[in-house]
Amino acid sequence: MAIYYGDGSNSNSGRVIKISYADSSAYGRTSISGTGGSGESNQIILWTALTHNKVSSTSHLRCQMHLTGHSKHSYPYYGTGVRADYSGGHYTTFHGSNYSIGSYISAGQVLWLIDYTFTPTNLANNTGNITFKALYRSNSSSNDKPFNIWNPSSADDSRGFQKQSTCIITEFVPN
Amino acid sequence: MAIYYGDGSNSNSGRVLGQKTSSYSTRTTMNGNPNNQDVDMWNMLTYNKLSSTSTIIVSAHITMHHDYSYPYYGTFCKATWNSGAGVYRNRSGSDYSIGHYSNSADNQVIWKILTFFTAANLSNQTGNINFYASYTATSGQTGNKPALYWNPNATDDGRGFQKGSTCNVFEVEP
Repeated sequence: MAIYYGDGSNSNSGRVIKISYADSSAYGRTSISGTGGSGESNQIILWTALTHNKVSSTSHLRCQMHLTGHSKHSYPYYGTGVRADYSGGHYTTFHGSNYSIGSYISAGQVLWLIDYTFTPTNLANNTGNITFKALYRSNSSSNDKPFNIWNPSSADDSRGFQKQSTCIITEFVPN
Repeated sequence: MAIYYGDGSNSNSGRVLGQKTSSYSTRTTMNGNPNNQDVDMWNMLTYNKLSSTSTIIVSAHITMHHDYSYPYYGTFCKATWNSGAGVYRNRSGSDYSIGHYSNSADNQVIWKILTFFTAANLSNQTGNINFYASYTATSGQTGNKPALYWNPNATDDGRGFQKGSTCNVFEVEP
């Protein structure tokens, strides 16, 4: 039975159930590989960001990632995505994942943002451990990647510092 | 004692304890960094943290005009407490894109922050924590800044309106 609060909400809907978060501090500045060819088997999983222990089979998971890169490579490309692994399967989407190269120069910053909400159907109504990954794939060629360096540092601009990427997962039950 | 809900969650963990938002929309000329000093461009908000074990998630969208230092990698989100006696500079999830148009520097610059401060980052403090959008540079490097103007308006493009920057903070019990 739901608990009904004085403001009109209740404990069964419109609620954040759990939040998980991680940064990429385990990796540091990293030269990244291009795709090995076309298709899923040749894709590159850049970052296994975190595993969220999903509480409810009917909840949604909003995945927000902020990935920092240096030195553009493929452009505009449209090959980046996000994947959620659950027990017995996974769901990959290329929606809600884009990067901006800033200026069209090789020594520029690249900002890759992900904002996608996984529905219960996407995750086959699973609960338990769901692992989130940032990836890129090519539809037709090899050696594609959004940038050359992930998590730039003062090696890329002597004025700067070691940068890191972040991921926030918000599990919520919609109204 | 926790309340246990039918969906498997409970009232002691995975909870949002509090939230605060702020915005600022005055066109401002940005300063370059002095040697070995932070430029605390925007004192985004002060949040009264309830729990010593909670995490603070910060997101911000900061609008600027006319690129300057690039790529730079000098921006960060800063938390201070006890009148500045405690400080944590968080360089994760703070970057800007200059969206350069041809060779013109009259471009929009968007600074995005998506980061978090763990209880350990904040020395398990409760009470007032100040959050800033800041930048600096390595020792000996001065005069750096992401852009020339913060919160552009029709002065920067006659077709436009006053733009504003926004910040959201959530306190969550992981």
